[in-house]
Amino acid sequence: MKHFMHLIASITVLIILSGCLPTSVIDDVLIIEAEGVDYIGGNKVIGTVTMPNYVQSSNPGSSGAGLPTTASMIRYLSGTTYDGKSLVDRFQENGQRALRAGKLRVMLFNKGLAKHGLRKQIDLRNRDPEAPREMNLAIVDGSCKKLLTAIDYQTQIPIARYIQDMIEQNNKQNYPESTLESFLYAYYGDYMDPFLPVIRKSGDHLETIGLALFKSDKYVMELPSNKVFIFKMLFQKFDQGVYDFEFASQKHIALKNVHTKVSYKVKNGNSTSPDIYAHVSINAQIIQAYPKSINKTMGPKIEKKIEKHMAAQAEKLVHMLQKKQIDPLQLGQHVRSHTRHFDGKSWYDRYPNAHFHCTVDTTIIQTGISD
Amino acid sequence: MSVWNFLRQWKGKSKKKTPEQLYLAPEASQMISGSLNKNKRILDQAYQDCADVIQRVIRFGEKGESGALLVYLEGTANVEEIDEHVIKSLQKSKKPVRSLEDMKQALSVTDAQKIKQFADVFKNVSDGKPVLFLDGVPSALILGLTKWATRSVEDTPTEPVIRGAKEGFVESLHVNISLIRRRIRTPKLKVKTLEVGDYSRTQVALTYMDGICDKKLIQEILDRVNRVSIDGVWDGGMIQEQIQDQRWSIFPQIQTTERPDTICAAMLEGRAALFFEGTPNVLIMPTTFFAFMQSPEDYYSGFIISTLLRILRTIFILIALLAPAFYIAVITFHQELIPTTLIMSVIQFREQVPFPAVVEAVGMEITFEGLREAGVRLPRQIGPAISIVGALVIGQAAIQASLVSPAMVIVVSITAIASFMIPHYDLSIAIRILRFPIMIIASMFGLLGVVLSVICIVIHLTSLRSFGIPYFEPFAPFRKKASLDSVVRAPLWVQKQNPQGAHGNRNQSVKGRGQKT
Repeated sequence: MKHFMHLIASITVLIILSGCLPTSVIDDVLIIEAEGVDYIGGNKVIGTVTMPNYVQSSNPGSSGAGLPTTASMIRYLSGTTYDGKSLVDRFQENGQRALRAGKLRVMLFNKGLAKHGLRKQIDLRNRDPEAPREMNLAIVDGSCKKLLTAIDYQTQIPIARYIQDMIEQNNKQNYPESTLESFLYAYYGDYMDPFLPVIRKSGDHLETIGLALFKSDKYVMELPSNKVFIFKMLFQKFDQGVYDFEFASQKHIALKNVHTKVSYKVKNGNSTSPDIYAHVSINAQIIQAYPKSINKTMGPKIEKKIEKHMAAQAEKLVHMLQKKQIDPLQLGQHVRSHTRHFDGKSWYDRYPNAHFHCTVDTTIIQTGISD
Repeated sequence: MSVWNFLRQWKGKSKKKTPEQLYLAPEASQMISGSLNKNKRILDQAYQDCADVIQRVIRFGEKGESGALLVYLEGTANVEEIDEHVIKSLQKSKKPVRSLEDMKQALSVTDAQKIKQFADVFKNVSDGKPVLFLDGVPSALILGLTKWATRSVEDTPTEPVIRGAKEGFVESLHVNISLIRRRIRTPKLKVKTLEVGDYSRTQVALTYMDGICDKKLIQEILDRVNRVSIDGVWDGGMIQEQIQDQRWSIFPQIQTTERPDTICAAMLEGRAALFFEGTPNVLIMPTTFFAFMQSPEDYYSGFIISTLLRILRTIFILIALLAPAFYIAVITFHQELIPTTLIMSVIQFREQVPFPAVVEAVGMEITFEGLREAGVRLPRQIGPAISIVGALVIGQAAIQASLVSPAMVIVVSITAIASFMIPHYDLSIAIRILRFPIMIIASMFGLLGVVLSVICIVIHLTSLRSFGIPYFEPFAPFRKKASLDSVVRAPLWVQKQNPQGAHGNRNQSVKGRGQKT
């Protein structure tokens, strides 16, 4: 009997104590979907957070009851704070309901902040157990606040979802993946630097205009959109990318790569100027060509031309990266993995002198249905 | 444990009268006398106000000088056979009948036993056997001419199968035993009978396979059944509750079935079955948790199909147990777990609902359980009415009235479907009951509470024993061979390496229990 009483007592205590546990019922919180941070100098930023704003669905089941509809919720909050402040905390007191960052989809930084350095922002997100690791980061050409709060977009879909959709579909094609996780990996990893896509608002829509390359946490340069294919080709194996090649003046050929593979070899990894050999093999499909520029006899010729052009482009790209002393392609990692007793300390001095050799092997496996 | 001890003591105090004193008339101690009239007087006294007890005096012999008294229960004795083989035979008898031996010769009845005490008379008349007294002889004959009303062997509505035998047990013990004798044709199939119930004196038969089943298990079952003190037994469940190892557990530690093939398979695995007169439900012991998730059909359809079905059942048991709790936890604490597109629609629907998720969920689940219970108790003619009302309560109307959100209706429905997928009712009801505390805990502690509840349940399951066999076998403790027939069902040719089966002749099993208690 005594034990039974103990059991009852402990269950009662359990229930009473449970009153202290904070809840976050989904219809009683504001779910932040996007954060944008604009740098205004002097360690001050303008932060913007957006919450999903959607109109009441026409479902007859959910009408009536005289309760506020979700369409009347606030859409965004914006204000100045210091760099590195959690925006959820900053705007908590302005929130109509409690703010929660658990479903954060995108974090945007303007170029100013990127140049100033993302160190504090990255540390904040790395520390936050609520923030999802697969959220997308991007650099905004222009003002994040304007991009996030504009109401003249063609679509009614919440802006955060629009941005994320755009970044994700690009990541499946020409752009390399740019989630918080990949950024953290490149940021904290040795012998590598992170990169992020650059987006901007162009009239009534958004566009992706290139790839921002970083030195550690600081923005260094922007890779224009037409070079991103070459970048991704050297970075990882991928498919579904499209490369536009101007083989002669005003004459274009567009390749859709069915599969691209890259392999690295390194010689003299510990010398002052290591040799890095990249071999890229592309299985491609011609999706667009200047009339009569390609047929069975011309095929191998064009292949050769493309190979030569791409190799040159790749070497040019790497050369530029070396000049800027940044390594978003993670070449340092390749050298390290191919070199016994790799000398990591002097790598940063040796990196600009490294010789990069690239060979491309293109196979056109299809030229469309017309031939 | 002290609670149980207390209740045991409290139960023990209630009564200590010998069963004989309880069910027999006070005249039982008397011996049968030589005088037919005296016997008749005693019978009249004992069977006062028993309109269905028929006493008939038969006069026979050439001049009608011999007299006999026939006593039987109307409806239980086979009257046609009494007419044909007792009365006619006696009257036609050429030889004079002076003793019971003469009478035995005169009657054309196989089963005839001699008794001397009135106690035996009362017992056998109650068992439906006619008793014949002969004038001048201080003993009587019991005639095995009984005919109890019984249902014919039919399909089992509670454990239907697509493939496999459609026979189910009936209320007659003898028919039930014959159904398993027909399937296992060997003298190694043993049947031990005993009686339970102070007034009902219910016939109980313990069947097992000699050489496969552990002798100690049989002894343990007999001991436990004999210890039971109860007025009447109308179903095996009344005994099951009293003989299972952990009587306060919500999980059944003895399996019930109405199917002869299930019983036969269990006996060949070294288990024992307990049949009760008057009920088609037969108990199988020992049993494991996984036996409740198996249908006899698993062995009749191919092993690929049955493995997939078993995995499906396992998934759905988890759904039946956890789906509402998981929903509550996610809605109340962990919105980051819901995909964003879904979260928007859930918010939109939840916006109109005035109750917290836990109230909504518990309310809906209780409503559903109510509907189910009402459906079981409902007379068959008004069955469709409940489905109409049910569709209103758990359906579009409830959503339109903003009483519940559509997501909740889906959760309740899938839980309902899942709980009906458990092949055995005993386990299904245990799972359904456990769902409620888990829901409450989930509303207080979120997924942490759900996980802790599952841990508690698993700890409980692994600590349970069924007649010394660990309840969560073959996973805790892990037995590789037996695990081939648990959540998966390996091909029969793989399983049958060991004819002893999962529970055969493992001496440590019952011995282990004996040492502990």
